[in-house]
Amino acid sequence: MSAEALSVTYKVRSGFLGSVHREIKPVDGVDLSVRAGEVLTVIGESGSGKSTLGFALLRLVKPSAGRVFFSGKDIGRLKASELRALRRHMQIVFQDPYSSLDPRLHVKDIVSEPLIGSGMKDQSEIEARTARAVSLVGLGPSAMSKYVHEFSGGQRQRIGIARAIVGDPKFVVLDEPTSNLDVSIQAQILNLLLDLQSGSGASYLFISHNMAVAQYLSDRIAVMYAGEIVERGTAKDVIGEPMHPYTKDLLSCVPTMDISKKVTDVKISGDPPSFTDLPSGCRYSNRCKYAFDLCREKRPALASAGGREVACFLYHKEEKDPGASVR
Amino acid sequence: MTDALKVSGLWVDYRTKSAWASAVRGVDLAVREGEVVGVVGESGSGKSSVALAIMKLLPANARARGRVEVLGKDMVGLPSRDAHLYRGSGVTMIFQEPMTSLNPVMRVSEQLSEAVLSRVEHYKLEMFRSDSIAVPGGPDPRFSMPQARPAPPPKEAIQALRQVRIGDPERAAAKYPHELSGGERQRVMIAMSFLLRPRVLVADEPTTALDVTTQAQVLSLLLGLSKDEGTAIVFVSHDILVVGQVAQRVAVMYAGEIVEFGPTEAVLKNPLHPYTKGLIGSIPSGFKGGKRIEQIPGAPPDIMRLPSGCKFNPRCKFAMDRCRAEETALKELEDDHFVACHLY
Amino acid sequence: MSKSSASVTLGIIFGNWATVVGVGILVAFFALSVLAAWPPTYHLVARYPPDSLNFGAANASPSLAHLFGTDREGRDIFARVVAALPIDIAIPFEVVGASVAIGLVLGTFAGYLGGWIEELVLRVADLFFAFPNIVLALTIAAILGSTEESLRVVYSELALIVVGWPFYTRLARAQVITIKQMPFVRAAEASGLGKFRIVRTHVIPHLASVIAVYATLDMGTTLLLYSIFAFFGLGVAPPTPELGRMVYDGLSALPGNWWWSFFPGLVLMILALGFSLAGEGLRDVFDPRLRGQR
Repeated sequence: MSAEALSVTYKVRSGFLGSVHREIKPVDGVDLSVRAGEVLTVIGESGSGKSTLGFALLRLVKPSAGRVFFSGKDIGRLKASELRALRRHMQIVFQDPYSSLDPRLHVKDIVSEPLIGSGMKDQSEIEARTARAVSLVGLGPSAMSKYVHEFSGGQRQRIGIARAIVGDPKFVVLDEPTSNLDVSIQAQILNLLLDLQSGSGASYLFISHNMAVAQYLSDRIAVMYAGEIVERGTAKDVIGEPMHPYTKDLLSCVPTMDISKKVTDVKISGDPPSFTDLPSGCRYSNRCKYAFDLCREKRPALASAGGREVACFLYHKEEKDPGASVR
Repeated sequence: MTDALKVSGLWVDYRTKSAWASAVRGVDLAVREGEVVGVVGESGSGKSSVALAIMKLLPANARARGRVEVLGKDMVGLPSRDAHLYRGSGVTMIFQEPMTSLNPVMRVSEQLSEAVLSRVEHYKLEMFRSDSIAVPGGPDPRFSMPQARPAPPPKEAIQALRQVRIGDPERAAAKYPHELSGGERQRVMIAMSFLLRPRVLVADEPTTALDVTTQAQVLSLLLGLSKDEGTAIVFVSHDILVVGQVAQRVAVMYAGEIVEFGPTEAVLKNPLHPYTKGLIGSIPSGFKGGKRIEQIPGAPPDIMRLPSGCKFNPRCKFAMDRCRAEETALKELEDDHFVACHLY
Repeated sequence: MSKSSASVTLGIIFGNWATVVGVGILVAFFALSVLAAWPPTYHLVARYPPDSLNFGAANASPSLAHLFGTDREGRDIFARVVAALPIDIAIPFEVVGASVAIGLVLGTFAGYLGGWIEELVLRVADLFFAFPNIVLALTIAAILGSTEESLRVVYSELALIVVGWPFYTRLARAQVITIKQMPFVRAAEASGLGKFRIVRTHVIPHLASVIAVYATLDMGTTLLLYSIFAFFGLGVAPPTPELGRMVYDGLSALPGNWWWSFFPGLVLMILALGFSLAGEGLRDVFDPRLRGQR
């Protein structure tokens, strides 16, 4: 799965009777590729556009620009029926295990949906694959003919995962699948996902705001801020030695077991920008403590530095202001 | 230092079709002035019921038994018509989603002014109702009766917004709650708490809906409130690491009981109860391919069908016959570090 | 936990006395009307035929022989009330049924497809909303009804359907728009299901519960609305017994022969109440929050 210069644009109306039309771009020119058999985490805060990116990759929202390739095919050029047949191979697990499962259907009808959607007709095969998926996620066979309201949050998320893996997908988007779960249940689901991923060799795109979870699950991490990827590299590089000032600030705000490291001492000003009111130049320039004039004038591109890619003028020598220094 | 809040033998029961089900079963908790005590637990542990019981905000189908003392006055027996006197200036609460506790049709400045006014109201009510309870903490001397102004100053509201580090306080004050971001709304709630000058603040998952960068800011604001005003804070959260950032002492709740209570550092570094150990063990740490995180098997029990003996025994890998037969009680194992477990 | 869905449903229905009363009323009236509509069983319910004239017994007040008394022509009012039941129960079902069918189809299309189809459907529906519904219904019934005497029942029902469908169209569209946003519909799209299959398996079942509640509540209103037609000389033509008409005809004899209009009116009211209570009960059955609690 890969994307080239992917953008998603929404029109918003504001003002009296919606008189003011504006466009926002929650995903703005993102290049991304998820390699076979890897877990790539897109990490970002709310409003960074990370979920929209996941939806756009699966063409659940229509990109306004750019192309998405899945197994070498440009999925934007496929006919509707071709895309539908492909869907069981590119699946998604949603954040909310309550609203993402239809309360009026039996578990087996929910889980088998990707098979039916891809045009599978053989009832016994559907039944067998569904049963296998349900048992893979750790639910008993009796779960098949129950309704979802009979399950707890953690079990429901297992049902959501079963639906995603039932068609042996090559690519799965996991949209914050554990953020509504308790810590002890989250641990169960994370370990389940790790087992399923290594067992199937599929590629996972994990969307998260939780650094610890991202670190535990991913091979590579992409940090997203205001619709752009600002840093991307191996989990060890990005979390162990962050380079982009935003990644550094983000990490310093995460509470850890080391309670002598107080997040309350961290000084970050302001809130993430809204898409209707982005700063000019680098989008982090209004909160960044290293920002200099160039940052406010020009948008930095994602370019390689220190074994990963960073979009920051601090690391691109040819454009760097000689007066500014790192750290 | 004195206990600003003292909860003893607190039970909270919810009425079901056939019987009363207890969500909180005999909780003792004391918070000193200027101290932050964390209450950690998963959903269904009863931590939110404790918070609501302290606030006298339990829903109609619930009842509280036991004692909740704020500066020496018992609040459980207080008639509900006097509950509004007690909330506001005595104790106040901030919630997970501030949108639901802000009035959507009032501008921020009006709501903040109302908080100031309610302080004046408290004082007036005090004068006329000599038989009523004393408002804990007492009225603010600057708002004695003669100076009670009908139109409260926006200045104080702006000042409060500045105190919680809202970027452009004048602009924010003129907005409606839905025009603010989640972080700004939570800071408005905290600004209100500043204005009320409560002796006790109950914060129920105040940062759960916020991003980490905003969370860090809100946590430092709460710490400031407790340091500068001497407010006692009960910090309720599902996230033991967040609690670790602000609390001096932490109580871990499971199935309606406190199973471990002690200084934050001791509980985090040297957890004694198997549940606390499991909770800390299930926090993801390290990189992919490294050590797998521990998982507590099963799920928390339904309060209608609690196991006999220790409530954690069906999920505990150390469970013995005694755990299934005999209830546990908190024992002081180390200095100020209590645990309810038959292993010790 | 393992309680089946059906037993939960029954639990909710019988857990509330108002629902029990509502459903009880409807079941009793259904039974009565079925017995009354079929000639061989008619005598089980009423002693006299509804239209046999007996001037010897005219204007009798309620007694054991004539429970609800008799009218000017000596017809047994109880018999006439019983004979009116089939038509008075059928009318709300037909009117609301047709309104729901039209509204469901139009509203679902409008909501799910959007675009100009939605605009068109909504504007037309709004056109009908602009008039007070009773005035509109009376006008339509009067225009149609003047032409053909034997089709008056059909025409008056048509008038009510014309007034009724816009509400269900709006309701269905609003619901579809909400359901369309639900993550489980997103999930179905992500699974490659086609639009019609999504509408059939995910959208309609959710819609159905809400509409069923409103439709049941609406039946009582429709029944009362229909009875108003009689005041304007519309609706069922005499001598066919119909409750609204009987109330109207009896008004001239008030306060003397009060039973002429009192008993038909009472039955009308109880029937409307039955629909209303049953509708409220249905709302509880479909309320997921109530489900979760049990």
